[in-house]
Amino acid sequence: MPEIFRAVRSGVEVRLDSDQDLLLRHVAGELLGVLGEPAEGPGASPGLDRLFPRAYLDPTEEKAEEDWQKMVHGDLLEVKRANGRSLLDDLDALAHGGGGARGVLRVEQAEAWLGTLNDARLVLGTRFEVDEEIDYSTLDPEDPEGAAKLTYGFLTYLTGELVDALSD
Amino acid sequence: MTVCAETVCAETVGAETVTPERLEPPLEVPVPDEIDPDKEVVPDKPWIVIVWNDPVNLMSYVVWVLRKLFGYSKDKATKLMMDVHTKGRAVVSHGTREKAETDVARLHAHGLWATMQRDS
Repeated sequence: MPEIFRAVRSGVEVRLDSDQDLLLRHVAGELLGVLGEPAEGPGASPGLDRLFPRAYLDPTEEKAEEDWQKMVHGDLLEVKRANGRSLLDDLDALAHGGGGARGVLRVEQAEAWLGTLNDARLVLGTRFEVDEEIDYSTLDPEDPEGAAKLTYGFLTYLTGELVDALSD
Repeated sequence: MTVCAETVCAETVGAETVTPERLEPPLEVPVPDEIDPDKEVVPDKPWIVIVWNDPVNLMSYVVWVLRKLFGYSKDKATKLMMDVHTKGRAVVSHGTREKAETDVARLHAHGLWATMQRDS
């Protein structure tokens, strides 16, 4: 796969073709959908449970857990939503005449992208209970989660590249 | 961790310029029976923040998050990440309950699976 993210002096240069652009928009849209689901308690949405885990494992700290959730949950939700919206806005702003998106993201924009890429991977990974490595060469064409697994693989590639670009 | 023991040793060595012979029998330096690398803890900071292994977060991503949030060196962040990866968990910060709550929230904002507990 050609390089999509590259560290440059002013941030991270991005080059997405039109298919990649569409897929990212879809992924960000899906994530925003999950983030918009009503919170109906643990177990109702495994994706939400993974995005917003408990702080206290100790059951005797239940009151502290409730207080902590009240204090931070709204902010955490808003950070994740803002990251997703930021990615979609940036894709619009960087739309390329020939399709896709090209341009330079400032570091804080690139970090918002990274947050969304990683959150989307967490939600997908929870859905099909990803193990450490997926062997894409042996994906069953009949696998109902096949498309989700390929999307996950693409997001993993993007995440690795973007982390490297931000770590340079 | 070994930091305290090293500090004590260094001070003792600096004060007395001990010869190798005088190092045996051992100086009266309290040495913990067991040194647990997971217990990098200062006594007046009773809460620890733990990052747990999960199959999704990339190793490079975990290192990037730990460096960004806590200002750790690449070496320190990499060591903590490897502890998470190989031992299943690592203590990434400690402090008051309030500090631990803030750190857990920042880690969750970045998608790491973190919890807090009283240091035992």
